[in-house]
Amino acid sequence: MRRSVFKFCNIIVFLVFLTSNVFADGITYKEILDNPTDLELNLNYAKQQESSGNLKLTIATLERLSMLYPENLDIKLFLLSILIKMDSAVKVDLMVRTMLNDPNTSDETRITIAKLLSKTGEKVEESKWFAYLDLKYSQTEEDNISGITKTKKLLQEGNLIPYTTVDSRLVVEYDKTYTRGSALTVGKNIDDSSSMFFNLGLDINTINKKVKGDSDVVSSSLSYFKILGDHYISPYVYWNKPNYRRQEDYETLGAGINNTFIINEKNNINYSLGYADTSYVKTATFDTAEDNNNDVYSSFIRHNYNFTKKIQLGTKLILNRTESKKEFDSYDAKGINLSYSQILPFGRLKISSSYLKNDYDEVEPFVSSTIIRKDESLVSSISLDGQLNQILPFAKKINKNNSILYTLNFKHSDVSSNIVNHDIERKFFTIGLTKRIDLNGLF
Amino acid sequence: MDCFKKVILLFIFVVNANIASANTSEFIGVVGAAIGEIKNQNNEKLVNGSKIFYGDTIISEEQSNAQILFLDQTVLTLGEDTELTIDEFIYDPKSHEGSFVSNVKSGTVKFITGQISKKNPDNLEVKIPSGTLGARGTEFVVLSESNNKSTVVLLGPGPENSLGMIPGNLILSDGITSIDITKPGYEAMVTN
Repeated sequence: MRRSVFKFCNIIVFLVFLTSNVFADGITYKEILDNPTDLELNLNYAKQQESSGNLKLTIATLERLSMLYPENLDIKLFLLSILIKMDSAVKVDLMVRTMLNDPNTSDETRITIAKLLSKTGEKVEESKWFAYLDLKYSQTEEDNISGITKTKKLLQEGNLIPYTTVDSRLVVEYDKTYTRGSALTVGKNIDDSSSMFFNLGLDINTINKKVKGDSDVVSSSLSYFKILGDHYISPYVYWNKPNYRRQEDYETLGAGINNTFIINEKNNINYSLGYADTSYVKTATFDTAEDNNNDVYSSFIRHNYNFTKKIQLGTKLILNRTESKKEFDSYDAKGINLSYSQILPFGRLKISSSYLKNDYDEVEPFVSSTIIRKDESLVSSISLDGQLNQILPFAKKINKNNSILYTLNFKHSDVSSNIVNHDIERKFFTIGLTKRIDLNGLF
Repeated sequence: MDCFKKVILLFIFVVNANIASANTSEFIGVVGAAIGEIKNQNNEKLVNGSKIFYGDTIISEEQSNAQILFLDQTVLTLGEDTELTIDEFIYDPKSHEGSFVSNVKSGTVKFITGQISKKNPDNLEVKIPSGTLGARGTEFVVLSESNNKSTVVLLGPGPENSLGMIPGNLILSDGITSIDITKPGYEAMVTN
């Protein structure tokens, strides 16, 4: 009887142990909930979770042990090694500083920290490059694509003549331009305050009715960005080469420097100097194309005022000089731009208006031998851009990572000139989508 | 025979112990570490191992901090002068389905997300005085400085982690606009 009772007791004890999961695989989370402060149990649990790849529980456990046993540096070193693997730079930095400032940290521990950090440094070195690809599609509707004058007249050798339509396919008013584009951007973070960007893009423009003007445009740019105190400086060079159908081709090479000076939270000043050289390509069809060659010197200074965190007002003064091979196409441009932008629930609204006054150097004999051209232009635009999800909530299903951007833009251009040939009014409406593909995995 | 009685009593004790353990399943988490003065909404002092229940408010005083372990393996670390309320905690340990809504009223709270967030990231929500926060498989800090200003910082894992982990992602909203934080070390602030 005693033997039977003993067996029964054994079974009960076995059942008790079984219900408390002593014989389960490793240490359970329930055991940790029951014994959150047990050093040995929790340390073994942290190692167990690390080996099974559950690093979040490893960190939580080691952080708890570190709170409970603050003088145990082995726990801290174990935690530090995990944080480095997790690429948690902020926490690594904080923890290293805390440990190095701790007088209890031995020289041996400091050496161990240095070894762990040298591994981090190698990893950061590998992660300096980044890249992304933008794929875009846009459609622009224009009400006067051929630039027909307001008076429907032209000035030729001092005489006003009616605007005659030689070929209705060449001279049209309303038309649409479709643009399919792609742009690859590759960048490198040189250090905490500077980076380098390279951009290569291709846009293909197709015009609906007008037979002239279809083009594909190859462009590239290289820019450097540096933070020096409150200055955000960016020198850059760029090159673009449009290839037009039935029109002259040209290529432009430019360079410039842009700086934004942060005065305070509300105010910043942005200014830029630029130079661009445009060379036209002479062909058998366009044997005088080179006469259009020009150099442009551009500059502006803009004051931005952050009215609130969501509203910005901008005032920009513009001064440009265009030197053309044809003297009558050389001119000075002076102007002002006012802008208002506001972040709204459905995107960023921007309203902008530019007034420019162009004073040309010489008369154009073929047009008039006495009148030197003077233009005044007023270009106003209203645009809205943002994440596609902001205007189409159901798009979240196809745009989970917010990588599709939309843009809507309406622009009105009104040029008043003392030469009627340039007295032109135009309206543009553009709708576009851009898909950004992260290519960081390539590096 | 006495011995047999003892065995029966032992059996009853074990069964009762298991039933008692089942009754405590109402708790949703435990205090894993309590340093300094930690209390709940009833001004009861919380110590290492104290149970946390649905609707509890956890308050840490000056120079105090605490770590709370939840049943779904979400882990919250409270800094000093912090007040946190658990508005909702529903969790099925079999399916890992559930919902976790917490409210950081003031102070600093570090989150390490658990099974609820892993199963469905949208089911983890953190309310802050001037907005809400959603998180995907990550570790982050919420700092509520006042009634109208809160800062969130994404801690990790970073995109360069050597463990094959999915990089963390935070979505901070002020009710009108939202912003994604995908790079560790980056922060966003929401104000009224």
